[in-house]
Amino acid sequence: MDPLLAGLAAAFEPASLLMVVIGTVIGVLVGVLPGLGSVVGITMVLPFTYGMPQTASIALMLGVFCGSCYGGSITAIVLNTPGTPQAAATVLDGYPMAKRGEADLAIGWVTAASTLGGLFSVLILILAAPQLAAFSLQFTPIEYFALGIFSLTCIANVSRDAMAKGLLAGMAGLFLATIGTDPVTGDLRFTFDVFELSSGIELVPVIVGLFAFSEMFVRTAERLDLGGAERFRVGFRLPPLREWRPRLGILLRSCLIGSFVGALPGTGAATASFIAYSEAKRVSPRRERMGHGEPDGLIAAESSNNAVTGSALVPTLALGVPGDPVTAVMLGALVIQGVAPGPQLFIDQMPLVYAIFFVLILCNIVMFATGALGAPLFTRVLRIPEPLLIPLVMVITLVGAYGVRGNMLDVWVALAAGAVGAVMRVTGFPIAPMVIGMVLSPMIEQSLRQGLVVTRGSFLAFFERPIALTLFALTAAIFLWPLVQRLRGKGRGKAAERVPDA
Amino acid sequence: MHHRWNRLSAIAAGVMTMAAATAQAFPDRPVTIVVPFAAGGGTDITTRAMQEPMGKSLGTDIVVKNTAGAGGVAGVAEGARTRADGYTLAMAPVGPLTTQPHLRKLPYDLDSFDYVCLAYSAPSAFAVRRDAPYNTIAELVAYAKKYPGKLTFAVQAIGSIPHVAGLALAEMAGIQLSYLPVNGDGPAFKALLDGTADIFVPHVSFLSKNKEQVKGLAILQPERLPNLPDLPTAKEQGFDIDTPIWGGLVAPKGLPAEAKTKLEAGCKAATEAASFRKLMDDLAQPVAYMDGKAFEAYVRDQWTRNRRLLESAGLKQE
Amino acid sequence: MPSQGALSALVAGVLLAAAAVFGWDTFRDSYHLSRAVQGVGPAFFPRLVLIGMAGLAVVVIVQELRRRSAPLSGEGAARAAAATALTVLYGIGVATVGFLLSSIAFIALMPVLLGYRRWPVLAVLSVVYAVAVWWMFERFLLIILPHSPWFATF
Repeated sequence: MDPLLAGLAAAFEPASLLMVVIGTVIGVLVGVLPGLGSVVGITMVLPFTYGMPQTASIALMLGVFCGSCYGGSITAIVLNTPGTPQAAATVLDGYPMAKRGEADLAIGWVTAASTLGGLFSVLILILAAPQLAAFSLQFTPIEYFALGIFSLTCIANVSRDAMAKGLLAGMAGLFLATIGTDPVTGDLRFTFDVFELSSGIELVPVIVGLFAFSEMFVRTAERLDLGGAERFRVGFRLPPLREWRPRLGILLRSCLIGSFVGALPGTGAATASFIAYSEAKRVSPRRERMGHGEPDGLIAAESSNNAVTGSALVPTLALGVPGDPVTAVMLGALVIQGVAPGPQLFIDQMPLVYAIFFVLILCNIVMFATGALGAPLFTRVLRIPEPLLIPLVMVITLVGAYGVRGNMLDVWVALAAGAVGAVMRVTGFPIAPMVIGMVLSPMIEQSLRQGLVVTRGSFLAFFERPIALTLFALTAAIFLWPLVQRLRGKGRGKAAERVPDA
Repeated sequence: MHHRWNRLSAIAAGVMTMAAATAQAFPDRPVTIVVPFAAGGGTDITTRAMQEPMGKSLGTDIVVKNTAGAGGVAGVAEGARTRADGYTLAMAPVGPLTTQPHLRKLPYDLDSFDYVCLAYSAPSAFAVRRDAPYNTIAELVAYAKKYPGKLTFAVQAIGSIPHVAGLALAEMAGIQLSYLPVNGDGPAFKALLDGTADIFVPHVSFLSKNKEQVKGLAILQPERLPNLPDLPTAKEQGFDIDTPIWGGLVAPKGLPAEAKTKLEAGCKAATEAASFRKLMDDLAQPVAYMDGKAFEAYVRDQWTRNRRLLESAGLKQE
Repeated sequence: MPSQGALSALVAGVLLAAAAVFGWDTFRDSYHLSRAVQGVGPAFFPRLVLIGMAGLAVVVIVQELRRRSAPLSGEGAARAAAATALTVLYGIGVATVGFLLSSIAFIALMPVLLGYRRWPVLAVLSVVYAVAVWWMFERFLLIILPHSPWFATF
């Protein structure tokens, strides 16, 4: 049989279809719960895949992967808390939009953007997997370091309104991630002989603390509405086509960023969404409104993080190198299923490869449906009287922090991060830069030090490689451009002083 | 008022005796196995393959919990510090048990545990890129001598078993290797493919799974493997390196005898189950099982041996 | 209440002090494995970050002290402090008497603290929600939550 048809047949078997639906729904739920993310979801379903047919087990895992990448955005919109680290950039515009009473519309934007991003990456996977795999091999530690430095510009871009405070928060995030065991030599750093700290400060408890706990702490200080908040619209509303037209450029750009970053092993959806968001903030004609509920921000964050799903499979399938913890679990499961990923896969096992393509497309469609059908339920959360909502959110947040490693230390970390986050909110320190710093820190440090092993200690050799040099140059340009503009602006009269908004 | 309190305390007492009564037969609730590495790795996959048959043998669910961090030490330490009731075990791998203790102060030592069983033991191998200009250890050594300081050896962690193997090779052959620490097998493989590293030591199944991209120079155990008869041993080539990657179940010291017997039996049943055997076959890995007593003796022996290796490499903490 | 500027400067000051303490820690003699690898040691990157942190903290302090800002309203601060304290107590409760019992208490008490007084709703909600979350994690997601010392299962 033709491999394409064989793949289509395998993907549309009843068992596979059922697993697509189950996997995607579980994925969305796991994504929605703060703290639990893609990795927890995929390890949860892993035992069930052992007894399943090949395509069905892959469908289950891909469903969870796609669903969880999207689910976190719902929590970001409804509760001002990213359900997963991938959705941290979605908070920036999602919550302000919900606060205006348009949660239904915000969910419409992210659902559509996620689906489009996911489908785009399937297209990339179909058309260019081997080429993209070869491209990812161009990235040695030196290129990763350059990419990490480039990504740091995100911190500057999301903290335009309070630059020094944002950069300081970013630095604090970079530092936090260095606590624990040195990833390169295994030395203990900043643990002060507390053994529990030797495995470091986990990212997820910090995120749920900084966003969810702090949000709840701050809300308790406000005059609370004891009845239901009727001004919130519930349901699901797709943005009209004319709203999309001017934003297609941002969408395409973000999809490309997500697909490229996703194809690099060792980077993930969180990095992709921050880069895409910060790029949108740099080029969008509506950039002044970003951070105040502008759809551009939602499109950038959500289309890019879902564009990672397809392309993260590129190195996994074409090289046998897992791209991130999620694909590592999938790779392990594939091996148990008797699939040996690698260059041969695209020659010997085309039916399976096609089946994966179709399954991914189906996952994205089911994801859209889950979002559209589930939105009325999720947005209804906004109508729960706040005094009740606050403890309910806190309980689920605490479990989320605990559940990642099953560790009480993570609960204390989350509570401490909650207090820190509350102080940051009150004093006008932006929170996202701290998360960006924490996400990027291990990649920057490790690639820097590995790069120095490769060049045998020479830092100058970092600038001899074309990709790295390009990225360094771009970074410099992005940092210097605002300065140039300001100097020009000064000649034409002082710009109105911006008031940082708290 | 009195009545109410009496009734309440009677109910509470009743519930508690019920809980205590059911607790007598081990196990009456799920048993947790702490895997000290992230999901998806070799240790994790092996543990999850034991999950179902071991649970069936014990008559309860097995929960696999991944506590990654500090090179596996964090998860093993967690296993050392739970209640010694048999409901929490750790899948303790070779590194955290026998190499890490020599490198730094740990919150446990070999006496912190009761040993349940050895669950797996896999030979490791020297792997290089398919197109590398050497096919044997001798050729690799000759290359390293011709281009001193050029070869980079990717290690999954400083002081890990692959690192120990590399140190042993460098010492025996009198060559210089640069060590590139990465975060596990996947990143090590990536480093090999993109040219950052030239050699690394994976689990032997890795070679058959990725044979278009890598080739093995030598298997690091005394005998050839029946599934891979063409892969010569390092010993045949004049380098007596024997660095298996193994792991077994341990519980905190003071495990009740009844629980220990049942867990040992459960572990044995799991390693004999058809599904587990199939996985081992797929991984080209011989099934290895030892009961608690044999496993403890093995761990102590390996501990002494790895201490010597790390000492001679100058890595041991004074 | 202090102004937002003064409070921001205080936060930056705390970060400056933290940078100093951690910077000092990088000179401790506990970094013994590092000689195994070429290139820079474990202290290199954290020191770089800490220097950046200290520098930016100084910038923020100067900026904030020069900025004129209105004093923060102290309204609700006491309630927020009480809510925070209750949450910390909840954390301690989870560690000592287990997830289920402490969650029931927390869900029942927090709304009261925030001025909610519909008792039947509280009684039902706290039990149903806590049990539902507990069940979902323990039985469905197989994530074992902290138990109480008294019962085998919760």
